[in-house]
Amino acid sequence: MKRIIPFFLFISSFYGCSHIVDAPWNNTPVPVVYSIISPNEITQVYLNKTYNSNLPIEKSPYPQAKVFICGVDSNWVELSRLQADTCIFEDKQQLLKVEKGKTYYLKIELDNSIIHAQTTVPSNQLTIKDVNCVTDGTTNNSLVNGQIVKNYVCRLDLSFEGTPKTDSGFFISAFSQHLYGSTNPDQQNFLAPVFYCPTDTSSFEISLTTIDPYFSKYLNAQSINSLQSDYSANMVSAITQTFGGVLPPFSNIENGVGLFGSSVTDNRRVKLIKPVE
Amino acid sequence: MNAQNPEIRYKVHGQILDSRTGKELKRIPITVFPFNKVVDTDNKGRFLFSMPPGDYKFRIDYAPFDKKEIAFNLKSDTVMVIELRSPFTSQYLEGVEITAFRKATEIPTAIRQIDNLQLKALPALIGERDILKAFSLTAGVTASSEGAADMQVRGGLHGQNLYLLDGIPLYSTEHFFGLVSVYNPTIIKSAKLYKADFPAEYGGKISSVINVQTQDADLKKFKGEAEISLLTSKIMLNIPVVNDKLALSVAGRLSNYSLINLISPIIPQNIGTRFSFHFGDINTSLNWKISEKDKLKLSFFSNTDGIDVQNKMDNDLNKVWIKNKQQNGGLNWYKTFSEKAENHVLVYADNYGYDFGNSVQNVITSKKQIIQILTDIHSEGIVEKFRYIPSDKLNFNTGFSVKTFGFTPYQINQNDSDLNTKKTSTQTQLTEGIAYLEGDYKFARQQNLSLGLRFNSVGNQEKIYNNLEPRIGYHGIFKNDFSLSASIGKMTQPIHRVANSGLGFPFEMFFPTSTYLLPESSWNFSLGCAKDFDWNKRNFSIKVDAWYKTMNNIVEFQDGYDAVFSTIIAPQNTILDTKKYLTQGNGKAYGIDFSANYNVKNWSLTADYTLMKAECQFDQLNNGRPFAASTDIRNSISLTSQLKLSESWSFSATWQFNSGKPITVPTYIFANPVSNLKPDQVSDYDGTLYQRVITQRNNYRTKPFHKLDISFTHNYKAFKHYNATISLGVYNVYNNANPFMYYIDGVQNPNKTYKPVLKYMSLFPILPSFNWSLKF
Repeated sequence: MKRIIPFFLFISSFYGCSHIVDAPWNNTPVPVVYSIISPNEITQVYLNKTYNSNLPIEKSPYPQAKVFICGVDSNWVELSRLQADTCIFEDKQQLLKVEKGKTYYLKIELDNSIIHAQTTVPSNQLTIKDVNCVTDGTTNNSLVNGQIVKNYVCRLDLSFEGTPKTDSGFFISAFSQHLYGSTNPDQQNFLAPVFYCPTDTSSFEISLTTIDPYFSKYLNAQSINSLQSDYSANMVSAITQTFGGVLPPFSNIENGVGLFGSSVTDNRRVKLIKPVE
Repeated sequence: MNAQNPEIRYKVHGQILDSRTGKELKRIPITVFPFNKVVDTDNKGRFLFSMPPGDYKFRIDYAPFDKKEIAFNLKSDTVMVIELRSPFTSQYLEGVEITAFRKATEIPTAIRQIDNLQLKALPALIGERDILKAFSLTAGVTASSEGAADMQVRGGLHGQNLYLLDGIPLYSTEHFFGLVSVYNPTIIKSAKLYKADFPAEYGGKISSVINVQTQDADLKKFKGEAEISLLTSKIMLNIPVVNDKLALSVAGRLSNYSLINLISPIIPQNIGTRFSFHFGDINTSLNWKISEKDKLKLSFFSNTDGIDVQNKMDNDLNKVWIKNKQQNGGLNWYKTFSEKAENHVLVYADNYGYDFGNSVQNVITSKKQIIQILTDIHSEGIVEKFRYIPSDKLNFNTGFSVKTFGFTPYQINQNDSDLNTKKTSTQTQLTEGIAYLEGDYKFARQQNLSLGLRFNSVGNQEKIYNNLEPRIGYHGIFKNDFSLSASIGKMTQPIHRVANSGLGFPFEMFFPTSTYLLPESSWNFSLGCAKDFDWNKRNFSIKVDAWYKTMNNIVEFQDGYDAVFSTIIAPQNTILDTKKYLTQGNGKAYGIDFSANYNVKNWSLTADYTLMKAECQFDQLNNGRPFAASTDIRNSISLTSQLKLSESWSFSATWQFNSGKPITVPTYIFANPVSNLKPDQVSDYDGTLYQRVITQRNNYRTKPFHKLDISFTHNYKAFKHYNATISLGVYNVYNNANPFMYYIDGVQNPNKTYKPVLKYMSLFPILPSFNWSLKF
């Protein structure tokens, strides 16, 4: 009982409650565009609309939309829907050639408006100089897609060269996981003292991706967003762990919101160094 | 001067009355200086003295009335009627006051004063009376959120107010997220708020000055006061050590939750969730009367706050804590050279610390991970003030001060079994030197002009900023019932207090002026008038004050940063460079304050209203476009009424209304099309992750805030001898759910996905309030 007293008093002093109010985003939806173009990647464009809690969610809200991209040659390439009921468009013929340092334009024709955006593919690409992944044989289990995976606990050491343009950024990824990202690196190396590598793998691919400024801002906003959680059951967390700043703007879509960005990636195969058995 | 002629004697006779009832007060002790003799009034409150011509001072210090001192030059037979304040009608008195009510015309319209008795007459949150909350009921002042013991004055932020406790600036004024202020109400003698018309002796903040004076220890009489409310317990003791020479005053306050924590057994750490929190403060002063002309006062103040939450999940013990502490100590030397010249020297040191952390410990392996943010500020200073009154028409105030700061805005400890890092922001040393001179000139009867100049130099080896701050004030009274006030003043602020600007809790950080961060400055303009009406034992007064304020180099977090995540998320080297996450801009605010007060025998009503607008502009924020400041509360109203029900019972009620304040809420939200980073992994919306788009800063107005508080107060004799007061009240009578903070949450859809919703949290529903105090 004595234990309950302080808890009760604490809760009673925060008796309050949370109340739902109408949010600004429950207004007329606007188009959402998302596309990252990259050399050697098939170009895709996602087209949807902003969320409104009063309206049903549609899988393909703009059935009549036409999506075009062009480079400096001014030849518009029309993208086609991946499937009939999807909101993803793709350059199936691979007509668009994406090159470093070039500027590309996006145009989407809707029933009553036209969306524009542009991006310049990073020219100052960061490249991997050296990478090592070493384990002493220690293992660990992790849960991936509902399956228990046995991993080596490794130390990953990567160095790179090159300097991205101001406001551009980069990220390092492996096993489809984002390992590290930043803008304007001050140190051209990355060390992960704890890195999990599946025990059935002898080598893996690591990627160093240089991204344009808008993509960098988008990732920054996304990383802050990912901090947000459902705090309805824990007011202390709501007070101490909610991001209290203002999210950085990232949209470069005219007549809509979202991102038309670009990136270039340097991939390297890494051999896992294990102790001699 | 006391050049007395023993050949001639004049009579001073008069009577002491209770200002509230008009009744004579019998056997009231009057101390007559320079003789230092005590004479009591007779059964009808009368007194009679026969004295040679010269300068004299009467001191009347008799509980429960306000202490009063009357200085006069005896040149002929004199008649005095002295009225002492009773609790119900109390208004602040400074120096000589022989009228029943302080008239609205008597002080400039930009200045508000509250004394201890007036504070005690107000209803309070959960029985806790608070000087800052009392000020937030006045025109031009709002609290940042419901229940917050902070102040936003005329479009300025809480961190732009200079909070003084016996002349020493405070870094933090809040206990427990702002629920009560650190000013212990039992020892407050008086508090004065300058919304403009700043005297040259004050500076260092750009928005307002709150000067709180604590009571001096009584050198002759042992006395004390104990008080208990739902939230805290307090005790104050006044202990004469050497009669009429040396006395000690101690006042302590502790949250009742802290007491419960103390008496609760230690809870095993592997059981459930445990909350523990406490706050407390202590004020002590040692007063030594060396002679009639020399007095020393040694003071010490300390406050602490803490909240700990422990939670056990599987084998992990999670802890979150927020702690802050503040201490200061000062030695005051008051020297009276003559009736026309006095000097005050203050030497002080202070310290502020903040600790916000989170740890996870595996109870089996004992491996522990800690992320901890620490702030440390310490400073030392010396203040010299000299006052000289060459004539009835002229007086001068001059002085200087030197203060050194040591700043560690934050240190981050990240520690676990495999990783041990420590990020420390640059420790900054800063020195501030100040000199000022101010003259008050009475150029005609009841016409006063004040001219002052303050020089401020702040910096270190890297950069020094010099500022001149002119201060001009005028206050004139016409026909005793109408006054005009006007003032212009510049203020500068070398220490920046930066609060979160988005949703969620408004955590704050301190940053010193540096090569990158320029000192903030403001120009404050004020023009007002007041009018008193008296008829048939009724008093009505009205004050109007129009104001305009410009603010330069105000500081905000850049987009994407806040007081917690600028330090944790930012790359390791970012915290060394404030220009990566702070930015400076300009602001302006203007408005008009109205105050009205009506007093009749047993009833008083005070109404305050402010109409204002505040906006700011930062090149790096909001695409450079101006936006509404977070303090832009367009309309604020407060009504306070006090009714005397009987000789011992009184009733008071307060109603407050503030229109919504601007906050930043996403304009659009969309389902994140990627769960990963590669373009070829774009997928259809899965309903779990949303991206927010903010198109405009402070684009949304919170719900208006309004509430009604009432309380009944009963004065009685406890244990036959002691004055006791019991107050019973109700906070937020009609149970309005006022917003405390807004946040975005997820609500589950029938298909188990989550939809984003905007929520606000309200903290204080209808609540009982209780307060009992005993004077002994």
